[in-house]
Parts: sequence; structure tokens; C-alpha cells
Amino acid sequence: MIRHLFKLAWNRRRANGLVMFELLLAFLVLCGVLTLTCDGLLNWMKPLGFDYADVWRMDVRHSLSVRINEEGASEIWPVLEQLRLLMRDLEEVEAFSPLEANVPFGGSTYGSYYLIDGSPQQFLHCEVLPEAMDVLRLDLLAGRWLQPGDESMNWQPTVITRDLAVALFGGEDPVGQPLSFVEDDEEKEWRVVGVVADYRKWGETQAGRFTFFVPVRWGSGIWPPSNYIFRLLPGTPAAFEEELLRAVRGVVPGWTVNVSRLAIHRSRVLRQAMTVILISATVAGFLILMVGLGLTGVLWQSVTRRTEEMGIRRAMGAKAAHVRWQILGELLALTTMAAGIGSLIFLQLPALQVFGWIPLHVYLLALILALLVLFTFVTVCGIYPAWLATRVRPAEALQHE
Amino acid sequence: MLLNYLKIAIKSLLRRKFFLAISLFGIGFTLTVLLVIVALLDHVHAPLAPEVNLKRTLHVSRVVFRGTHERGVRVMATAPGYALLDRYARDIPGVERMSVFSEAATVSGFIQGEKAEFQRRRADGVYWEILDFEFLEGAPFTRADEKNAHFVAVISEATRQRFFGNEPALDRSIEVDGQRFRAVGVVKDVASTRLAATGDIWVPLSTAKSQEYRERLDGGHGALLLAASTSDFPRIKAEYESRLSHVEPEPPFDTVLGTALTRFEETILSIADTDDGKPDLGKFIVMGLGMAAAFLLLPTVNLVSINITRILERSGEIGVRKAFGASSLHLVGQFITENVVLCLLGGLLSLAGAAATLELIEAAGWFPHAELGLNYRVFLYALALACGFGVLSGAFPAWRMSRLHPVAAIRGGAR
Repeated sequence: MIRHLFKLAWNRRRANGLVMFELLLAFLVLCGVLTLTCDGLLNWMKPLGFDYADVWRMDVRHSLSVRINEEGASEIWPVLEQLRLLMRDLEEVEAFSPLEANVPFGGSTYGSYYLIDGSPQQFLHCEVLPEAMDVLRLDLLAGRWLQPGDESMNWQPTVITRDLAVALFGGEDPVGQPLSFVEDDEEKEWRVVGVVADYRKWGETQAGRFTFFVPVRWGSGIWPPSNYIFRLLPGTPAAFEEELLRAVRGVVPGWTVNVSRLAIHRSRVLRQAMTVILISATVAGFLILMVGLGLTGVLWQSVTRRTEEMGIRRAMGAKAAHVRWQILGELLALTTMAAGIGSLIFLQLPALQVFGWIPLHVYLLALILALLVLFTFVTVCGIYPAWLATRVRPAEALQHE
Repeated sequence: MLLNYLKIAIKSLLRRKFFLAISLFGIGFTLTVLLVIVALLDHVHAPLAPEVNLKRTLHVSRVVFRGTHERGVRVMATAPGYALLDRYARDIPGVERMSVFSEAATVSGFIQGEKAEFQRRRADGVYWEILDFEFLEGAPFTRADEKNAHFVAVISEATRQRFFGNEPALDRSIEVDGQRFRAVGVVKDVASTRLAATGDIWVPLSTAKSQEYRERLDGGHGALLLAASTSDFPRIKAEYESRLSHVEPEPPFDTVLGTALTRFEETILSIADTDDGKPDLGKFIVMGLGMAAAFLLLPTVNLVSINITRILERSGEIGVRKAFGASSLHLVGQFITENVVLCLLGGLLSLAGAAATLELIEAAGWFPHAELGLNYRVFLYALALACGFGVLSGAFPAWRMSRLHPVAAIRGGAR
């Protein structure tokens, strides 16, 4: 019976070709949007891995990017040290650390690309003071966090994120392992001292990125950081912000300084993520609806054109249900072919690592959901035309011409 | 002839109202999406106040610093610095006026203990001569104010509202980013889409906290070059580019690349990035067409398959016309006309859809202070898009139809 249906669909391949192509495209659109949505939803359900409440970012503009040389940096560092001392001594500030470019929910990144299993992966470099742990309250999973004195060792103590530890060492204990692939300016060897939870810089809707936490070379180094994070005591009044800015501007008179609550950046990032999902879902929704309506129309027409065939079948004793199942079955056979080809095309995305940060199971989940949606949708579209086909009276149909 | 085609078109469309409805839905939705994009692009490129001289203005907004060393090439793309513009972009032959200003930076001020954020721009005096702001109060600061580092500010209507409520702001003082300014002018709010003009507070360049910016080649600034006419653009660009080739940046960089850009070229660069700071029209066209094709594929296939269905239904009519000697060309012409009429109807729907969508975008505040909407240019684009989509989705079904054998067609068409 099923083979027969495929045969019927194949015999009408010229007429069906376009419909199949359309179903294929619609299926790919579904897969794309569902991947985006599933990725966001699955990430949303995982714990964030750090605490952003009462955490603020501070951005200073000491304007140095083209004068990256030691002379330029040596003018900047003493001022930054004064800033650090000020923040340490302020009662309301619990902890303060630089975190160049990689501040949570921020737009920019600082890092590099290294090959893992032959494919290039983005790594975030977080150069921090040991106090960063008290600011972000990262979940420490193994080993230890950075501590004072780490920056002056003859090797580079490094804390890595869980996802990176899994990718590099699998089930082995990562603590103590060397990171030989890292290119260090000073030719130091990088070694893992601890593992923290995935660092999800872009918030709840995205997965973490491979991240190194290394001690900042505070006071030397030719890139004095310009982005900082700090934690205020819970319940600090809002008016403290103005007081803080005045105090900071007293220390760094020539620079532009801004402070802002991470929660504000978080809501902006979330709004952006939601907007992307909403827009693509709306457009995809309309596209699918359009395909559905078109499909109903085409089926309707093809059913009325096949009156004779239906009439003969009815005359030979086929029941209404049989005819109905034939129409639906042909349609589902077409859909199966389209979905088969579509799945093969769609699975090239994870195979070729086009969006490397989306794990395979998200693609598979999206694929299954897309199949469900497609088949349900196509069946709904086919019900009315199939019912129409059973209304043919054998006698009339045979006289059709 | 055409009138006849139209009559037949309308009659045959009305005969199957369900098909008419689903076709119009598909066409209307597709053209709505395209029209919204077109309307946004049109808005960005239109010479709206204060950028009334946009058509004969070049914007220097991007430079690329490049350094070659043994481990590879280091590239930094950034806004130009004041020193670069001051030393290399001034007094270019063909340029009537030239203004240097900073990018808009987010700064904070406190209004009765509440923090408020503003987009602050530092500018020179010429800025107000190239851009035509509408002043509600007072006047712009002058070249003399800039030269003598007077702490004066022009603020936007919204900024006035936040600081002083509905009262006049003239000569009152405001404090932002730890600096105190005297308001000398209030301008109407500027849309965020007016790239060189948008902001909340404008102050003289020389009021910067440190004068270090005067020595920097990179970062934070831009320049407008007002040419006598667009025909001077190539000459101006060539002169600026040749001057850039003499710049000697600090290590690790050794070359500075870039050019002065029209607004269109800025758009091209923001969509298709290049590593020399110059727009690449070819790359943009390939990318633009690629994106359009990716979006249009599904709606087109959908409409084509509906059209084929619709045609097959009329195979009797086609057979008769063929039997009486209508050429294939005639039939193709007839069907494409019909389809274009259909798409024009869809186009009308999409104008309403686009107007509603733009209204939504405005309400969502994606482009603060921008007044989005349809105008006659967008209407013409809609017309062109509808005709284009009509021909695109009508050609293949028409060709299929024209190949029907008359005898088979009269009997009900090929299976």
C-alpha cells in the first residue's frame, strides 16, 4: 500500500515537483527557526554560572589604542593603581577587578582563535585580579581559583571553563594539565589550576564560550585594561552611584568614566535575543502559512481534476475512507520525500560546524520538532481536499467528459 | 488589447475567490517584507533634516590601520582620530566646507540625584554650517566658541525636557560627565538614523577633558566634507587617499587606508565589510542579491505552483485561443499581464502592511526619534517590486502553458 502511494506520487512527478520543492523549502525554514528557538530555550533552562545582581561595570576611556607601547602604558598604570586603591577602600564596594572587553552582557570580546580537533574555535581571554571571583561568584568545580602571586610565576596558572575542560581532556582530570597550544607573548607555559562553570558572557539565551581566566599583569603590560567589574554591598542606595562617579573622577581627572549596572545590560541583551527570535518566527510563520494555503489550493485543484479516477475507484467499490486515505497518503508520501532530502541538507550544518557553538542535540531536537510540525501541518492542509474527493458520485464522474 | 487582457484577468481572478485570496496573501506578505526594508533604506539615504546637504557631502568615518610583520598582518578598523582628519583631510580642492566632530559617546549626568544617560558629541563651529538643525531656542555655538574652549552646549528638545521640564533652557547650566556647560541653543530631536548628526548634547571639541585627542590618528572622530557638487567626489576621494598614503602611523602599523564615503557607500561597507576601508560594490551586490534570493525563493515557488494550477484549470480557454491562431507569445503576454495585475493588487495590500509594520517599528523605539513612513519614492519602489515579482513568478507558468498542445488543452490539458 505504502509503496503504491510512493509510486502514485512518483508518476505525477512533473505536477508534484514544485509542491515537493516548496515543502522542502518550508521544511528548511522550519528547521532554521526551531534551531534558533530550541537553542535559546535549552540554554535558558541551565544555570547561568555567575551572579550578576549587585554587580556593575565601569568603563574608563584612557584612549591608548594606537600608542600601544610601554611609554604610553607607563603613564596610565599609576592612575589605574590609584583607581584600584580607591575602589578597595570604598566601604560600599565589595570587590573590584579588571575584565578587559569580556564583561558579561557586553558587546565586545577579547580573545583568540585556536584549533580544537582541527576546527578553529573562539577562546575568550579574561585577564583578572583574584578579586574577580568575589565579584562574579563563579561556580568553582575543580582545583583552585587564581590567587595573589600567580602573575609572577614562571608558568601561567590558568582557570578554564567546564566546556573547555571537556573539549580538551574529555573525562581526564584537567587540573595540572598543560595548555601547550596557547601562544604566549612571554613564552610561558600555561597550565590548568582550576575549572569553573561555563562562562555565558551573552547571558541566559546563549551557551558559554571556551574561556581562560588568567592573572592580569597589573602595573605592567602594554594594554592597560579599560573595562572593570565591581560588586556593591546589597542594599546600597541608588544615590551612591553619583558619589562613586565623583570619587572616581577625582582620581582620573582626564578620562571619561561610566558605570552601569549589569542587570541593565542583561535586559538589553535579552531584549535583543527575543527580538531576533520573534522577527524570524513571525516571518517564518507567515511563510509557512502561505505555503499551507498554497498547498490546500493546489490539492483542491488536483482533486477536482482527478474526478474520473476517483469515480472509477468508487465505482469499483472503494470506500470513501479509502479515497480519502489515498489523497492524504499521496500527500504524505510527497512530504516524506521532501523532509528526507531536507533533513540531509539540514544536517550538513552540524556536520560542517557552520554554527560551531550550537551542540548537535539542539539540531536533532529541532529536526524532530520540524518533522512533527511539517507532517501535522501538511495533514491539516490535506483534510479538506481529501474530503472533497469523497464527494464525487461515481456515475457523474464516469460521465465527466 | 491590453484592456482586453485586463478584463479577462479580472474576470478569471474573481472566478476562483479562494485562489485569489491565497495568492494575494502570499504576494502581500512578501512585498510587505521587501517594502519595509526598502522604506528603511530610503529613510537612511534621504536628505532629511538636519542632513539637508547629504547628497553633496562625503563622510570620513572609517580608517584602517594595517601593519605587516613576520607573523602576519595586523588590521585595525576604527573611526579616524582628530589629528588624522586635521592634518590630512583639510583644504582638499573641491571641498567647500569641512567639519571635524567626535562620535556620539554615552555620558551620564545626574538630575536631582537620578542618573540620566545622554549621547554627547563634540563638534567644531563649521558643523552647524553643513548640517541644518532646526533651532527652537537660541543659536549654535560658533567657531570662536570652539577656538576659545567656551563651555557652551546645544541640547536637544528631549534633553531640555529631562533637565528643565517644559521651561526654556537658554543660558541655564547643565552638568554631564563631570563638566558644566551653559546651554546656548535647543534643537529639535534628531533621529538616530542621521548618522553624522544624531545626539542629545553638542559641545565644542576643545572642551575635551584632555587635549590629547589633538595628537591621535585613530579613534572617536569623523569629518564631513561638503563638496561644491557631486562631480567633485572622485577628485576629493583621490586627493584624500593619496594624502593618507603619506601618513606614518606608530608601530605596529605601517599603512593607513580608507576613503571619504557617501552615505550609500557607508551602507555598503556596513553590510559587506572590506579590509581596506573602501566600499566594494560587487561584493555588496552579490551579498544583497543572495539575501534577496534566499528570501524570495519560497514565496516565488509558492506563487508559481498556484499559478500553474490556475492555468491548468483554464486549459479549455487556452486550447480555443490556440486553435484560433493565437501565438505562444500572445498567450505568454496575456498570462504575465494577468499575473502582474494580481501582483499590483498584492502590492496595494503590502503598502498598507508596510505602513503598519513601520508604525510598529517606530512604536518599538528601534530608531529613536525617526519618523518612518511611506513616501512617493517608496510607492514607486513598491510598483517596481510588484511588477518584478509578477514577471518573475508568471514567466515559468506562462511558458508551461504556451507549450500545451491545442487538442490536449481543449480536452482538459496534460496530466
